[in-house]
Amino acid sequence: MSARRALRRWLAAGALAAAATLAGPRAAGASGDIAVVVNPDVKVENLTFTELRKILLGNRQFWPSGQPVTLIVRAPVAAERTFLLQKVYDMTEAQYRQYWIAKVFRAEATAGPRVVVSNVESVELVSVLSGAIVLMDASDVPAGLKVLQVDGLLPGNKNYALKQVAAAATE
Amino acid sequence: MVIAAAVPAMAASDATPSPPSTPTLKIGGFADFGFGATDDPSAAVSSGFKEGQFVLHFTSVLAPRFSFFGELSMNAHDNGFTPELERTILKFQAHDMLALSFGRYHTPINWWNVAFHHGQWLQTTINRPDMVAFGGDFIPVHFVGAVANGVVPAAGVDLGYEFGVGNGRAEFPSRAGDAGDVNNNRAWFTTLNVRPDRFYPLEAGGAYYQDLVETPSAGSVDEQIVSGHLTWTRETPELISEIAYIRDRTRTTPNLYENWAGYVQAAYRLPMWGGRWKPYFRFERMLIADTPDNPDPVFQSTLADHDLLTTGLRWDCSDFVALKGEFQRRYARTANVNALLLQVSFVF
Repeated sequence: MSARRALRRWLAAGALAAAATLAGPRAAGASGDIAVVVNPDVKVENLTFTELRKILLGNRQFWPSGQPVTLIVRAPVAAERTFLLQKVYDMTEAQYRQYWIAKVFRAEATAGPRVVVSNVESVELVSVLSGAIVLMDASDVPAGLKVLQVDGLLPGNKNYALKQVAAAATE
Repeated sequence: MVIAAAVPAMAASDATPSPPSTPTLKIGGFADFGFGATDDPSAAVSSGFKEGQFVLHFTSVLAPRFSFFGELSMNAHDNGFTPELERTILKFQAHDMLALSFGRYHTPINWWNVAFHHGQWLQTTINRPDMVAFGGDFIPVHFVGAVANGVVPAAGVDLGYEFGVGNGRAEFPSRAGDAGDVNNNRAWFTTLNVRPDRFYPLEAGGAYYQDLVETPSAGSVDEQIVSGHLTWTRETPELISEIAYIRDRTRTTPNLYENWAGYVQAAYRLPMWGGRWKPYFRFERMLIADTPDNPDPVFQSTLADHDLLTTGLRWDCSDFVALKGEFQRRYARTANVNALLLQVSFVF
């Protein structure tokens, strides 16, 4: 990637992050739903919940186009992380840590997911990291980011699979 | 070269999408320390503390699809510590469906051998099943060669496969021919495992391994190993079962030796007290062609028929430190032996 192109991508990411911070506008809408946000270069529009789980577990490390997946995960106590552990991983925080340590130990992965401390940072990174994917509260997704459908539905749709309320009720 | 975070931090660290201008080395490790007591009349000392293994892991991304993994252990002996290069793997990951690698591996014909091997903290119990014991002869624990592996999604299941070619057993059956093969016949193996989407995290699999082993007492021995496993690793409950069959046939005389080993392990992480307590139980059986006048020449009388009952309790006193207490009763032809083990294990 040329320095100029990299600079443009970072500036774009900065602008998106600023939008997320200042304007707080909501492309995906539907507070309470978790959006699956990916870098714009990911050539996928829809995932099944099972496919999403495999990607987030690190069992799928490439997109269908052959592009490597870069996982981004919120730090502990964030609602998105709690949702990820309960609804997708079906693990406790301790089990999640052990899972990734074991995966690296088995040489199945070179590192665990990249950890971010805020959705502003999620926006910044998912915008610039090729193949990146992150779960975010749909109400925090600024306009311009790419949001994937899950089982053919977007956040806000009835029967959308990644509903925080539903997760809390069922776990 | 830049040395970066340790393994625990990897769970909360960076997965750089494109490599920096120099390789970035990450180091992590496992260690353990224990106490054991036994009523074995043949034991020179019936109780004492024991330094466990000190294991370091090295991971490095060399290019977007090239990575290196290394594992070094320090093992305690009466007269000091001996270093051992457990694994060195250079891997090219073309896609989820195909990765090619070269190096020294934990032979993937046994589930436990790959899932836990030197990670005492990772495994629920203190001791490993006897079929994959440290320095044990039953399963060829290490493998030096080349491996192709991948995962193919198909009709609601993930099909994982591996195919490897390597040196096979060395003259000592627990060794892997690190400096070269002992004969001109390569060992090879293939594995297949199935993970149904609907029953995450259930896994079932099997393996086939073939080698020509050179033994001091009987010359060349054709060895075939067939194994299988069934695992459910969610912890509420955790169920692990494996079985392996080894057939050794000597070439100089038409002797056939058949050996079996298997185990079933069950554990359950209790929901109360922060989910940090996990009682467990394991039953093992090993049936060896060990008749005194004609034992299997590959094992050289190091193995014998026995059953082993293990029960214990694991307490995860922190996310990275576990205390375990374990009682074992071994039923053997010569004597039944009890043992009490305590261990602290951790990752750093």
